[in-house]
Amino acid sequence: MGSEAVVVVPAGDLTRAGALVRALFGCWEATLSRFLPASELSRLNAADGEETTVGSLLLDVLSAALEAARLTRGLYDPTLLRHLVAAGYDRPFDELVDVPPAPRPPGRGGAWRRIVVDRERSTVTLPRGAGVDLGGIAKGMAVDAAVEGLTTLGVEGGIVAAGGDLRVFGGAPAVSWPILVADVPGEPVVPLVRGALATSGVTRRRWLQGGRERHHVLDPRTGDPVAGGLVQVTVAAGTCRAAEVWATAALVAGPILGRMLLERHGLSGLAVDGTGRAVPIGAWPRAEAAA
Amino acid sequence: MLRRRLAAGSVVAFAGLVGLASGHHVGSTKRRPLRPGAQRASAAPTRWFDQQDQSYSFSDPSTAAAPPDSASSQSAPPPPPPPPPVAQTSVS
Repeated sequence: MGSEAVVVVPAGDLTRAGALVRALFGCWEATLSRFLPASELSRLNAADGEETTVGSLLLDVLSAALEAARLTRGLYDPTLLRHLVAAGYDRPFDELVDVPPAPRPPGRGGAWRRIVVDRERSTVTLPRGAGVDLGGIAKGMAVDAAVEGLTTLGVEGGIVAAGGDLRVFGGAPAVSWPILVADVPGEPVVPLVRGALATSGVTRRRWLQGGRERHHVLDPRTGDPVAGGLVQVTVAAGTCRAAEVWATAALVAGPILGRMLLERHGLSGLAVDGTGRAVPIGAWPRAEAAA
Repeated sequence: MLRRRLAAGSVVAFAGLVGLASGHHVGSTKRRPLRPGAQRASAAPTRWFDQQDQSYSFSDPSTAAAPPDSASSQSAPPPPPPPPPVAQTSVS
């Protein structure tokens, strides 16, 4: 998943917690990375329209991604892989250099509507020519799974974070964790008691293609990089899975529709526009949001 | 690139301070491939987004920042300083 994971737990739990999180992230990456040729996801993407038997992990994450696409009416779209590769993001981000221009694939997003998942037979059939990228939602779900694992292990409480997704768990109900939100002018700190934060943005993962600057968040309505007025959205939700999906959907939707989407689903967030202005949404702490 | 390294480093440093202050420690792990544990697929449709996804809360910053009244401030020791914040490691 190309991210460093951070775990904060009581001292006595550090060794076993670290081992659990390390094993879990390793497993998820080996299965779900689009950059590893031997991963299950790469095998599915190479099947070119043929029905493929997949394991339960890929089946679960893909099913969640498809439900997310439905809930967001396609603003979150896991089937923009071909567009992303054509934009030059065809290898892990750290290895990206100035890539040559490539022809843009025809059409926009929406191929997720034609994916067939047979949970009974554990098979998936992608539309011919379509590819799946589960990067964001897989990372969020991995953090959620790590929290579940640590709780089952009896870890009293703490934080698991990876690549913009962060979740607090356990601890006394009234105790909050001060969380410094990434890349927002004024460095706002929010007192998170329970739940998760995820931030989706276009300012960090940028590269050059033929001398032109690119970023990794695409608008499924056009197939082009998002240019809707927001540069970053942070969302608070009960799980990283939800926070991650809605952060991306709100970023794609833009300032007005993005705010409406979050409020309608009972979520809170902080949206940052191109001028650096940070706008709190829902129950996001006002006092902490000032830029 | 340098900025990214500094950001990640500060996360670990902040979290380490929190650990010292409250008996917590921080661990950091980079991706290492291991074999997955088995999960059984369910034939029944699964709902992935539900009420649990709205289950989050913030503490009230105005309560946390309220100054003590004059009577109690004379007899009670000053409250401990708040722990340093834990930073998001990156942006998705």
